[in-house]
Amino acid sequence: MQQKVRVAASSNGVLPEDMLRHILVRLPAKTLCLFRAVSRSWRSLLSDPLFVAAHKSHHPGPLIVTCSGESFERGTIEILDLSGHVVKRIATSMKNARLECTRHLDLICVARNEHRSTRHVINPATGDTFALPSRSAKEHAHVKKFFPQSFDFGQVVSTGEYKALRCVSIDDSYGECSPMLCEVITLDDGRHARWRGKQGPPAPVTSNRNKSVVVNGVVYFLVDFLNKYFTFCGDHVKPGSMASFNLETEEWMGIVQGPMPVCNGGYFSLFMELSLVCLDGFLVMAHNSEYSSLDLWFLMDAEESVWNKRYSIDGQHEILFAQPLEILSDGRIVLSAPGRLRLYNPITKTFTDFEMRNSTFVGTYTGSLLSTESTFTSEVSVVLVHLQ
Amino acid sequence: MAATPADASSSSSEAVVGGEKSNKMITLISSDGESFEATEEAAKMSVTIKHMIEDGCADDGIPLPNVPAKILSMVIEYCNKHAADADDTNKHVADPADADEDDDNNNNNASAGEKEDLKSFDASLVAVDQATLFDIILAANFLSIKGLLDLACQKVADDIKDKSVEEVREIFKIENDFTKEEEEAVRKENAWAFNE
Repeated sequence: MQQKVRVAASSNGVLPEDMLRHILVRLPAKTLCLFRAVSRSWRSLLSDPLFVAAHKSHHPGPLIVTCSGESFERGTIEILDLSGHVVKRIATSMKNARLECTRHLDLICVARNEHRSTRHVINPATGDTFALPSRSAKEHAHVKKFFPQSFDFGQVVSTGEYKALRCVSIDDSYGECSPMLCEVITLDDGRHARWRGKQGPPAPVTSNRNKSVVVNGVVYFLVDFLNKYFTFCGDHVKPGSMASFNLETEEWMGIVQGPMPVCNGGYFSLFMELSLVCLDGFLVMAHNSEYSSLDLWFLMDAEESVWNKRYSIDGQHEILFAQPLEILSDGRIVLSAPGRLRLYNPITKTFTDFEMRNSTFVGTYTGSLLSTESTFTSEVSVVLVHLQ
Repeated sequence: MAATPADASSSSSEAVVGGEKSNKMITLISSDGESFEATEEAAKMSVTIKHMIEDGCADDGIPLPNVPAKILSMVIEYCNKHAADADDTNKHVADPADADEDDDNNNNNASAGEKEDLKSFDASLVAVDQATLFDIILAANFLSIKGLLDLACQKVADDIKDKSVEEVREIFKIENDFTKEEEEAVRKENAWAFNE
């Protein structure tokens, strides 16, 4: 005769841990941070790196990052979901802060508006902040005129280390100029992190927003064809070309030519019309051509400079000042525009808009707000305050 | 339920993706000894049962000592409903002769209607008390029915999403084993989640 086994048949209100995981992984990060206070085992479960990774797969994001930088106030970073809903707010200790280079990483970078060498890198999940040292590399200690220009930071693919890069002018002339210097710093070195002198870029690079991007551990800078005419080897600068730096080897690679159809046209207007962004893992040159369409050129082969114009978004008002941020898994393109977040459907050619208050400086965050690990821990002097 | 074009042809010998379906009935026996019948097709939505059938252990009925009758009948209801849906989808896919626009529209409308129907069926299946919901989760896990497990887990997640820490402890019968200092530390570290 069959024995009646009722022990495992009914839950009696108690679920085994693996079933709990199935349930909890579906909840938003904020709720789970709250639930860490339920009990020791829940705290442990909800901080476990494996769980955090599973949660991230369940909630792929990205999240949008904005920073409000009123002149005399400390900056507030807001992390939003794709419908413009604020998920987390973080107060920084930096006054007049602007968001920089915050793309596809689990770190946020803010710079001081009127003094952009003052930069902080922040882990929004743990609140840890790293203040980038401003002192020049010891190799450049003798340099009298030191004007840091371009800056970007990204991750080395194979090791996961975070590195920042800056290119420095040593004179402030137009036209011809002395070669630029270059310095690299590894954030993972924490308190011991120092800028290290490296070989300078092959051509003068620019420092404006959205004129550089990091893709797969390579930093691409748009060559400054607006203010300079020659590369440092004496060649003419080709508009739309880019200098590239490998974060792993810490060396400059060849100059990549921009897409041919783009690179004709007046230098000044072209310079304003171009921006670089990473979409779907590709380097993309966004060309706001004569403000009548936004063309997205994907770099297919850096060495041969092969480009593919995958998208062309029409419309005048619609795309004015629009910056592409991300392509979602359903094919829609996320763009930031003044006052709003726009989701563009390339098949129906329609936009869905969400209000976004602080839209001047916008980035994306692909980390997990549940994470308890940090690449670096806070220096005592820089304290973050967690708001809502 | 209105008859759809697919229903009308259910008994014809169309080529169906996935091979022949048998109309064999399988007997499932709950932990409290009750017997339930289900089509093999529905039963095979459970990967656990599917393996038992393929291993030839199903002939005298399959005993499920982990699943009480009340839950088993709900599980079977789920499997019947979803097996039929999967079947209809296959039929639509397998009938390339239906290139006619009218037919396509009919098929699309039927699909949309069926999807809504399925959604409301699923919603009412899990609109039960918490203890039953937990039992469904255990059963779906034991029987390896992914769709039902996802459905039930999502329902619990939706139910607890806006609950407080105290309420969650009650629901899951958890004791607060933090020391006062520990609890303060957790709340401080995760302050952003508590401020609202």
